[in-house]
Amino acid sequence: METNKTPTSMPEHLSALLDDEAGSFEQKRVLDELSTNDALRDKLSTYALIGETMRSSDVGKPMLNLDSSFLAGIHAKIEEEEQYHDVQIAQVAAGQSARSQSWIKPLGSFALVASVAAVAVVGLQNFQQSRMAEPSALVASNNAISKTMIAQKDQLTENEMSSAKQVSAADLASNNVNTNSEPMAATQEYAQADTQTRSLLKRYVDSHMQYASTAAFVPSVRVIAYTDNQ
Amino acid sequence: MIRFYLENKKKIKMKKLTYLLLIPMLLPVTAFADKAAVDLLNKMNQALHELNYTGTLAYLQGNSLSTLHIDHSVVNGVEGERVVRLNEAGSELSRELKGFSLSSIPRIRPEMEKVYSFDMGRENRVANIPCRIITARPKDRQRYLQKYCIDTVSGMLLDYMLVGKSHKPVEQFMFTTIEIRVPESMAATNSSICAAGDCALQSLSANTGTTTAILDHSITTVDPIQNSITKKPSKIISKQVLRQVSHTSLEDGWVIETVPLGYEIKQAPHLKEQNNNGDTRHYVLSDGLSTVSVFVTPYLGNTPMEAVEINSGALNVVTQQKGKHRITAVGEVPEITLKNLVKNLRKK
Repeated sequence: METNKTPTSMPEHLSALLDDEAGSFEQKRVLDELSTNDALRDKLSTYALIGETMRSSDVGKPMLNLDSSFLAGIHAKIEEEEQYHDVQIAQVAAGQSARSQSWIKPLGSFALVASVAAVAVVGLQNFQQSRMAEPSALVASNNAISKTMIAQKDQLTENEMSSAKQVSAADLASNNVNTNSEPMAATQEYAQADTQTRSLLKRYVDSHMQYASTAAFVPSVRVIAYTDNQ
Repeated sequence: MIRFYLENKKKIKMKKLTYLLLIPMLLPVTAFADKAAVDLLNKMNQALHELNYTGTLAYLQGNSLSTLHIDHSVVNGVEGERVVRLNEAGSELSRELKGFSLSSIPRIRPEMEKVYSFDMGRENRVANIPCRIITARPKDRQRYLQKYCIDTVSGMLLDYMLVGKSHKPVEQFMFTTIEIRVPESMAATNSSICAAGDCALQSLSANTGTTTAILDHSITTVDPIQNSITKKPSKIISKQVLRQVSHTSLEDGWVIETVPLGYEIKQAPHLKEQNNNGDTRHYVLSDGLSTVSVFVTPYLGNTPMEAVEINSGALNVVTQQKGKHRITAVGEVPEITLKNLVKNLRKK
């Protein structure tokens, strides 16, 4: 292999130096050459940069941020960090406990495959039986299912009509655990405020501004802007 | 060259060790900057309530720019404020904060550093007054980034900006002219604070020791509005009676199941509804810099109420029906914070 060859050219010596594999004589020779050879110095920077890039965990991004300060780089990294919350931490913890019982995995996979095969066999048998059964029985069965579905739908509609927003709140309750996602933005529709609602909200904004912890004049400016905007 | 690409574990370990050694060296520098930033913010909070100041303020809200005249004074311990919009509707608002005391001034508390990092920035100049930039950078998406430029001599806030998650300003307040008058009582207070060792900012100020009644660098404001203001009658707002509630359990069985990190219920003022629908419960949550109000109002309407959301600069309003109540959240925070609060508010 190429790695076993003794370096013969100056770039190879340079490469060996960077890999900490050059002998003391080679080191001295390369360093002497570097002090006089501009092209070799450029090569050194290129090799160093390639090395940093390859060691970088982020594909396509150099590990060293050469254009900004070290602290700025840290801040940029923090900004890029994904936010972790209780639910996600719980999920991670669950994942870790699952990993710790790694012997269960193969057994679980086997059980899953066996279950799928069993369901497929039973399903195929039922399908063949249903094809052989009387068409009227099939219609009756379908009617029964349809009636049940209509009854359920009627019940749901009645509940929804009586307290539409309570249903909405219950839906939200089921999504309660995920605090950082935006399920409401996706599911909740927001309407334009009517005059009465605007008047009420204006009153709430006034009341809120009395207790706003921001700088003294800021709440007053916001109240004026809000009033004029509405 | 293949040899070059092979990872050398020993070298990487050495590099990691070098970074680990570098971090403790940087910590004292950043800790000092944080301390100075927090001190300056606290000084600003105090100055904004204690100083007498008059000036013209440019207010940028999205793409809309307006100018306002601000007049703030403390007379016999009563803080008064008058804000007049100089363009468009010319609206005016007067506030009188009775019972003003030093203890009521918000202070940056150590626990706030769980949700914000405070950084001291470069020196800038606003309204021809040198000021120091301070950034309160949120550690999650439940609040805005806040950027201040504070006159280190008087503590006056000259420029204030809130930045949203897309790194664009959602709101900016900037004085174009300002006259600052320091009451004699405050000059004495500042001296005592410095004597107590709270003077990390002294080194940052180019004009340390300036505690005269009227600051040298203040610019006298031209007051062109005396004849044109008061298009609308001004309004006096005063503080109302407060109730006591626990951290998350409110009244009448209402509970906030998940409060966003850093927020706490600070106050529960009483608000009487005008439409006789019953009492409105008002709860004020704050993380120290951002405030959210939650209003719980009985809803007796026959038709289901439609959910409404309103945005005005950094201010967001979300209202929706929950059972037989209207829940409204108002705050200078991202709308997702309000939506999560409303979502997590339930009646047990």
